[in-house]
Amino acid sequence: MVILAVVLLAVVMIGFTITRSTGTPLYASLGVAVSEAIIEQRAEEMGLNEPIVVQFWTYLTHLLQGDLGVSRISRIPVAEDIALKLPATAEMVFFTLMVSFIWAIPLGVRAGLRPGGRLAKLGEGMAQFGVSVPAFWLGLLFIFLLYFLPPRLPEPLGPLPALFPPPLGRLGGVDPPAMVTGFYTVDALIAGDFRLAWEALWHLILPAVTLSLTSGPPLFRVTRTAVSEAMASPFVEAAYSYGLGRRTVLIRDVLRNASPPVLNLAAMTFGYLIGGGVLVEVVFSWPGIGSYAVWGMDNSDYDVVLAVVIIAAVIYVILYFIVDLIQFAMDPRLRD
Amino acid sequence: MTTIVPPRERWLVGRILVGPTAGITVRRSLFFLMLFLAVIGPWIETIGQWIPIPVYDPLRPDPFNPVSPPSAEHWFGTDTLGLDIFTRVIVATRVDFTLALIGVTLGGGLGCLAGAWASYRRGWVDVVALRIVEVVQSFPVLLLGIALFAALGPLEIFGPVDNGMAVLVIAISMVNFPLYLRQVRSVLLPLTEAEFVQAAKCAGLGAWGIVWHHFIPNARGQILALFPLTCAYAIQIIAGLSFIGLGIEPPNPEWGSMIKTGATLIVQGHWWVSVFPGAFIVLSVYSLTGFSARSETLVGPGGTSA
Amino acid sequence: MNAGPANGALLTLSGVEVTINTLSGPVHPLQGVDLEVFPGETVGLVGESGCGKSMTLRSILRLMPPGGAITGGAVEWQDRSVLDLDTDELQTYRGSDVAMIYQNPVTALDPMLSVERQIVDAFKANREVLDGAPEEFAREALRDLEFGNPDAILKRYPHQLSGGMAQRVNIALALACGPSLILADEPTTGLDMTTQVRVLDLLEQQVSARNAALLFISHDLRAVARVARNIGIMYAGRVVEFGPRERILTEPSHPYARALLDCVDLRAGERPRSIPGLVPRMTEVYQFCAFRDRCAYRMAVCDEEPLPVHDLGGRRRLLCHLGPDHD
Repeated sequence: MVILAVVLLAVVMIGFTITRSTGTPLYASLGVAVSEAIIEQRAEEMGLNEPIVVQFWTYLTHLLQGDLGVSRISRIPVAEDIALKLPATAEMVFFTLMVSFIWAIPLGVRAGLRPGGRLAKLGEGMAQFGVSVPAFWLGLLFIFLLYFLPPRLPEPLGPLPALFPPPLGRLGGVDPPAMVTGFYTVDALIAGDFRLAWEALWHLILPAVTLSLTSGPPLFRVTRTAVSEAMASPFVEAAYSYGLGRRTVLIRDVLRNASPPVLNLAAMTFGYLIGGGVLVEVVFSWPGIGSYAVWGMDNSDYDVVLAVVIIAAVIYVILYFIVDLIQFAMDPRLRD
Repeated sequence: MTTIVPPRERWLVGRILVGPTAGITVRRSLFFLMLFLAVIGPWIETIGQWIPIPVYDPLRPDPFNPVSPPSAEHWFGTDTLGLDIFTRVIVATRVDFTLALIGVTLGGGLGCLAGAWASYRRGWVDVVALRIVEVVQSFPVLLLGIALFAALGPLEIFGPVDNGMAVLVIAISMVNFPLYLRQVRSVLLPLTEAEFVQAAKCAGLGAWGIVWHHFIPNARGQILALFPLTCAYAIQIIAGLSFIGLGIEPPNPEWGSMIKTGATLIVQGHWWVSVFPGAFIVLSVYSLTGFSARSETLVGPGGTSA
Repeated sequence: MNAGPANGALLTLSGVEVTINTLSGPVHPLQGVDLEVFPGETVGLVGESGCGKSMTLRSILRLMPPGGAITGGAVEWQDRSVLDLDTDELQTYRGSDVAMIYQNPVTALDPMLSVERQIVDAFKANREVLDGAPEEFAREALRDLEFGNPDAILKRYPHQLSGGMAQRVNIALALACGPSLILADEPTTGLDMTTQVRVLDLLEQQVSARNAALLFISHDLRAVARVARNIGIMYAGRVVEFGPRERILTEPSHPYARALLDCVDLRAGERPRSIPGLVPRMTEVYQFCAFRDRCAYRMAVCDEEPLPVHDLGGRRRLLCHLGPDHD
């Protein structure tokens, strides 16, 4: 717990130092063509004439009270914005992992059980592809393919019009459901509005598939390695020799022993994607914290950037900690 | 304890590049093609005068020919300003490769030194180094880049060097520093107890002597395996940051910023502006990661064997 | 030579061949293994590492490593061919008929499961009707192996056991299945000397208490001599000599068996000897005698004709051109 606190503090400190220490915020917020007097006055207002340590202390105490500053452009407290946008990102990342669980992990298990088989090769091919392709470009390709390559029918009928309206953003021009969890799909279901839930899900599919294809390869590979290592262990052969069936051994021994590294990586991927999905958010106009950070960057709204950076890093660190706890709970060897 | 003999393989780099291995020759030729393009990049226009390939000035707009699809005159089409995408994609190869190389070398080099130092000193130095690395790694790469640009972007503190490029290099270095530190440390930490290192200490070899004569040769294989992989990763980061307008600004050719130009056009069906630069990123990354697989087999467990 | 069920053997291996396809080409660890085990008897197999001892046990259970397959010969359990069993029959055969004890006791146990869970699962897989709670059986199984406090051991995980304890748990596991034949793959190699003796005693005692047969393999002739009534000497994937313990230990016929005995025979003041020459490479299929390059009695016929099989009666068998009565 102490280590967690120290790491969190260091995270905030580094984030703060990077964004604020260089003295640019003034130029950033006011532009270069203002008089010295105005700069001086603003600096005083923003507390920038204080020593950096005092500034950091002020920021930190505010942070602990949930105050992340105020957006220079919208004049809305950054914390409020983030409370709106973080669920959007979390929903996208959550569905990304769901998609990865559908392809990367089953293929990884299969590839671990039957190395060199067809599905193993398919998985390796997808992993190669996912590692090489930039997520934002893949997203653009998907958008293009879905809208501009409608299915073609034989000649007299010719090309059909595009089948889908562009699923950009979280919903297509409809009011969002009443906020409960912040996940539109869940909130819509709670409100009993199935059409809205479907609409929200439909908007999620492309970003989630894009992110899953590019963030799933490590999951595939780790699953494959973990399963094949477990398969090669003496205790699996021993289990067979006691007359246990294939299915039993697979579930009881192989998957159980292979799961800690996979779950570990899945959690790390979740933490990473909270801040790592920036570009995909931009491509799909997804109103998450990544888009928010880019918006802040474009408008030189540095409190926004700093807040997003710190939030993302803090989530990552906390997940890291939780992962340790999960490992601890799962593996009897770590419990002693 | 068995003595771990430092590998004394000569020409390891050379063997990774051209040594015989079946199966990944396509990737290797792809890499040499990209390397070739990176070398000739800025001179492509001159070269175009001698051989019948339609190349143009990568920066001169052609207002009569905006957003034209791929054709015999413009192999990859043109963008909104009428700039030839084929020429620009090739010129950009040099930009992306060079920035990745500089950033990875800088950050990776420092990471290696720090890793070697931490494994040599051990104790609290090691603990602190590892914590720092953990903290730096908890920042998502692109957000770290955005934060760096927020801080350093408006400044012109790098003199004659283009500001955006300088910040890109810093971002790449910051990302690579922890990766190399960890890798080097994982190789070297078990070695500090090894007999030959102890023997060298007894023989009066100083810290840097041990690092130079024993640590570097031992970690070299691992570093070489990591290098192409991190370069590939760096290219993706550079392109990603440029895609959101950070780093290399248009009209200077760079894959990410070219994709950005095409992003608004793709929803109108003008696919070529984004697709070709992206394809080049994919090819570069694919060819580079192939080398990593190769260096791993060359320097994998059990030492070097080709 | 094919004994079959007529003579009452529990297990009959005849001419078993195994081929493993590896990245660097095929390997042939078994090149025609003949072996019989009768009900309730103890058989030992001795040989250098790599001679195919462990693979023989695996072929009995039809547990092949990746790329490995039984490519020739027959494995018969009583009157059934093991190689023709379907998946369900094979599951019943493994454990209920034949169970195995592994060389490394700790890695043979699943690190994520408690001792209790592992024993109970083995029980459930092999006993159709249990009169009583399986936990009670597990406790009883541990008590049989002289665990003073079985309840505490049942709650433990493999990493919390010492090597000797882990091996006793493995033996309990194998016995829990109620097999009529137990295969033991160097079960004491990883243990220290005093533990070895104790574990061997327990194994012997429990096996004989249940009237089960034991097939025990080791590179350590002394350990085998201690346990087994009949001993087979393995070389290059074949059992080159087989016979009663007294015969094999006092006057073996095969030159390799003699050499092996000489190595172990440490009379006072003598240094242990080794057999000159190289251990055979199992990438080769040996047409003729695989030992001839190292053999002190090599004759012209050794290079010209395949190994003859001398069936000498009284369970004795010899694979050598010299025949049984040379000197």
